Amino acid sequence: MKLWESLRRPDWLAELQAVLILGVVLVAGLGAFQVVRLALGDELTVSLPASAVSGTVDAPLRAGAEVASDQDLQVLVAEPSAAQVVASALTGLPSYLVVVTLLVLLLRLVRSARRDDPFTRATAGRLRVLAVVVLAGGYGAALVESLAGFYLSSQVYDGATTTLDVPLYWLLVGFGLLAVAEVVNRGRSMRAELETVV
Amino acid sequence: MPPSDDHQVELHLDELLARRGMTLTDLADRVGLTLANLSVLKNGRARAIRFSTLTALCRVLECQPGDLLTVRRQ
Repeated sequence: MKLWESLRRPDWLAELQAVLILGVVLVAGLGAFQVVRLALGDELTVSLPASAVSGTVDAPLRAGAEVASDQDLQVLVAEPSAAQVVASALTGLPSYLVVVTLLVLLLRLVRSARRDDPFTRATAGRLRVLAVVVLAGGYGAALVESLAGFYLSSQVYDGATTTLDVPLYWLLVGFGLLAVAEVVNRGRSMRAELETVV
Repeated sequence: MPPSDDHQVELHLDELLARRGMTLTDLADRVGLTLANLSVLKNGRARAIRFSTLTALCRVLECQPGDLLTVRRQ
């Protein structure tokens, strides 16, 4: 074994733990920054589909040019009310909360796996809980953010609109975690069976 | 259909140890098993035995597998 390998044996769980800690700090920090920015700012930004303001925006454009109606425009609302500020926060904060919760639960699981035997019923259970957090939390956050967007858009123009994004990545991560939970559970039962092989 | 986990295999380890004048600890040392594992085998808690373990036991106890293991008829 080379010297540098003997000095530092790779423990990928340790690296993962460090990345997770960094992730929690970054995401929580970004989320907090967004909240502070909204709370202290005297204006907020609302995304509207360009079709909502078509006609008024096209006016300065030359013939043959028009604003793409299927794109979003950013509309500034000066001196927003408390309700508008809260709604604006709810268009993004729920996702931050879900991601921070996910990272914290994953960090606890990795710490436990490094300290004790990872192939236990508890580990499989924790992975299933993570999967539920991802699936329910992810799509719940998407719904809350969509409703908040709908309320905000109703505040700035007559025809309220919103888009319900259904991100596939929550589904992939959630089912991925359930699959890993099943692998850990099978590993546990195989190891239990092996313990009675002499 | 795979066999069920219940089995009717009986281990005649006590008789063979008495015949050879050997203790379980002696046997564990000579076979290369831990006393804990050998106790698992002796007390009927083992679900399977490796061929290498069976070979070592038969070598030390100077017997054949049929002397060590029998299947109890229901």
